[in-house]
Amino acid sequence: MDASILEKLFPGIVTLFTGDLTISLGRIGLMGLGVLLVYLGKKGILEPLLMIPMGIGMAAVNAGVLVIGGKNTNLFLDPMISDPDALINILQIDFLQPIYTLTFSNGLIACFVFMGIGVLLDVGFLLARPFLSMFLAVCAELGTFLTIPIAMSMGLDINDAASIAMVGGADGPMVLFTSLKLSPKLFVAITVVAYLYLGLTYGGYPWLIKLLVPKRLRAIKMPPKKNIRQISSSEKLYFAVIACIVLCLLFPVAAPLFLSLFVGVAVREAGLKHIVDFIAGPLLYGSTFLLGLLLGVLCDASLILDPQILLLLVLGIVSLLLSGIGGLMGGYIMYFVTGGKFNPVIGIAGVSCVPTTAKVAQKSVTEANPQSIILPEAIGANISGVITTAIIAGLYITLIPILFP
Amino acid sequence: MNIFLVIGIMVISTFVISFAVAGMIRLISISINFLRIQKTKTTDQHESLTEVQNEAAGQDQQLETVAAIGLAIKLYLEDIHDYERTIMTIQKVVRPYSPWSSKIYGLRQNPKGR
Repeated sequence: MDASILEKLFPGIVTLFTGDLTISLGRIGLMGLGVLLVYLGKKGILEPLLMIPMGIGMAAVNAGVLVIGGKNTNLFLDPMISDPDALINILQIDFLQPIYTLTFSNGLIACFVFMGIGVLLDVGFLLARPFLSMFLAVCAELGTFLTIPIAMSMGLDINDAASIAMVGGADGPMVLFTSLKLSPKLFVAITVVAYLYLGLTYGGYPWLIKLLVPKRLRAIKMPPKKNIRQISSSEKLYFAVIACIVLCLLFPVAAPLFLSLFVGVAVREAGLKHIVDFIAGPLLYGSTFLLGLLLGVLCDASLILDPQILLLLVLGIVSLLLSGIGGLMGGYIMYFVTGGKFNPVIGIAGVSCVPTTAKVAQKSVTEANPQSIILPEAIGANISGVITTAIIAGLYITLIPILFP
Repeated sequence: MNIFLVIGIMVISTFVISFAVAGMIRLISISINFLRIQKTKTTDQHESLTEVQNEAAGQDQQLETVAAIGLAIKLYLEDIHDYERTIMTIQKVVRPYSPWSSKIYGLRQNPKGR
């Protein structure tokens, strides 16, 4: 049979053998990784809510390659498209492109997740320990600072370096905004890398915790807080409204996130049951599912193995790793300051990937000691992480053009 | 400009602004708490005096009641001679409200037979 007929009949298989060897091996590797993620999600080793759609999406996008116009492509989405005319065409062809363009790249899906978190969140945790939470959050920004010189030594200029370093803050919309302001030419590439952090935090941080914190310290039980005052729901509602206004005034860069978070809190504290049910159920789970699916579909071998993306991916991972280490260092500082009464794992929750890192921290602690509950402290640090990332984004956008004209 | 100097400036600025925000959060919390206490004080002021008087009068009687309850609990606990499991399992069945299947929202009501 003629090879061209075979290519038309089974383009997915034929492109594995006819294309670039590195890409073909990458496709096979990513298909295997996708299956592994589904397996690990089912076993409960990784977060199933995200990993199962992500794994199957990753496997499918690398399997479903076809040739259109002499170019290997797929019918899922094209994240690198920036020309408006081409985008309109792609929106009518790729089935996930509308969701990617209209909810993912503008941060809407992240805001939906934040609304869901707001509905599930008790702001009493943030009210209780603002200074401790802020300290841990600043420590967990280590990667956001240290990645700049690393990226510059790898050939990026200060604007691109600052944009990719923001991945260490683990806040997609913030990275998006910084790269839009400082390095518009790398905007799409950095956005893709930034959103891939979710998989890394779920999968990688538990190992980082195990590596850097011995089981004895992971098992530390936090002493109960003295003089716990019952905070009424109206008090929490007032706090949510005032904090939302003040934080939006101070950090307009993160205003959509603050609004999403605090509107969730306000709805919960106002007792709007039907809206709470909608946000905490269909909206939160729907957004998480689509986020996982899109993250998987973005792991296309030809995209991941692009030299530019690969460099940004490496720097993004370095940045996140350093932030995780910084957070744990903050946890250790608090451990020594309190004379061994503080569980150092809480530090990693300062990385503002709400609520992933807080959940990861609690899960790691529960494995070591089921009696130890650190979630209140972890959630406080987590929320503070969003604030510190917004502060750093504001500082980078304002100071870098002044210091490096 | 030296990049490490710039990063130093950024780190110090982040620390200063972050702690200022933490102070602000604490301030909001204290203000809300203060307002709550003030409100409680004004509403309770009228009732507090009579409450104190009643408390003083009924203190002896209360102590006797506490002693009686304590004795009753001691006697009851002494009566229990074998070990009992204290773990209670509650299987909670959650049925979230959904109007989808509700007949009252249907466009067609059940036909009435003649």
